[in-house]
Amino acid sequence: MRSQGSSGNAFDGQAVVENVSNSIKVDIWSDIACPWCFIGKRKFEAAAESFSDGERAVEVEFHSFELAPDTPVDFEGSAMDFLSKHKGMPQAQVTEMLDRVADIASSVGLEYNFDAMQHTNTIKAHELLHHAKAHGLQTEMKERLLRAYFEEGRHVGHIAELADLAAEVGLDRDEVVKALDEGIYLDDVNSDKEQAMDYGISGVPFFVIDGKYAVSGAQESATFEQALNTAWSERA
Amino acid sequence: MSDPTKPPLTILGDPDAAACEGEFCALPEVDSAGE
Repeated sequence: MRSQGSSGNAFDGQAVVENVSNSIKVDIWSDIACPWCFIGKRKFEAAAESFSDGERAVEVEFHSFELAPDTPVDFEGSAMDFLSKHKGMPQAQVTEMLDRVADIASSVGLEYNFDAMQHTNTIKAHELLHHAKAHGLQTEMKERLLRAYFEEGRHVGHIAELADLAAEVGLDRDEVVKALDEGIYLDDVNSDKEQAMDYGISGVPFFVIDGKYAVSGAQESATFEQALNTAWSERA
Repeated sequence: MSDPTKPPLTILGDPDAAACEGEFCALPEVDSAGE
């Protein structure tokens, strides 16, 4: 899998520089605070790995989608509190459901920790993803943010914490703080949200393949691979 | 952002696949996911 403007190997959080003509472009709308987005990302990656060979490749670009833009940055309480309060469900029922999501995540190699999760607003995380894209590190940043939120209980709403995570993937920490403080990439986030509306996207993850086909949700890898093959076959 | 000259997207795959809509994304889809 390739991402715009970065280099490395497929499926290890890295990507490659070349914007090759034999690649299928996949635009992915997703949020950080979206358990199915991380699960769907893993399933898509498996499909892209199977699809890619010496003749063809997958080029990925992530786009911003805010599921809950009204969420305060410093939400008081656990993710459990947030869900049970807003959903009006008993905590035991919420626990059972989240356990099932965690089991599904585990099936694709992810270790969700809903107890440690710090629910927050994700707008700054989306701005950071655009900053990372501008520096050729969006794929790495996306993976780091998702892992930080779902597996490590990191707070992805605070600029200082986001800057620490950005530095881990090779971005300049001071530049990140400045960009997020000044909201340099806010217009890019809003542009993504507008394009999502134009596409009629109401849920994420949402995958647009070669600008023609769409796959919604954490589909099975076979579905993603079939969609990639369909798009590819039309190029022949 | 939209290009009126482009045809609409063709949706592929299971329409009931687990996805997040709004802030309660983890909950409604659980029953149909991973079965």
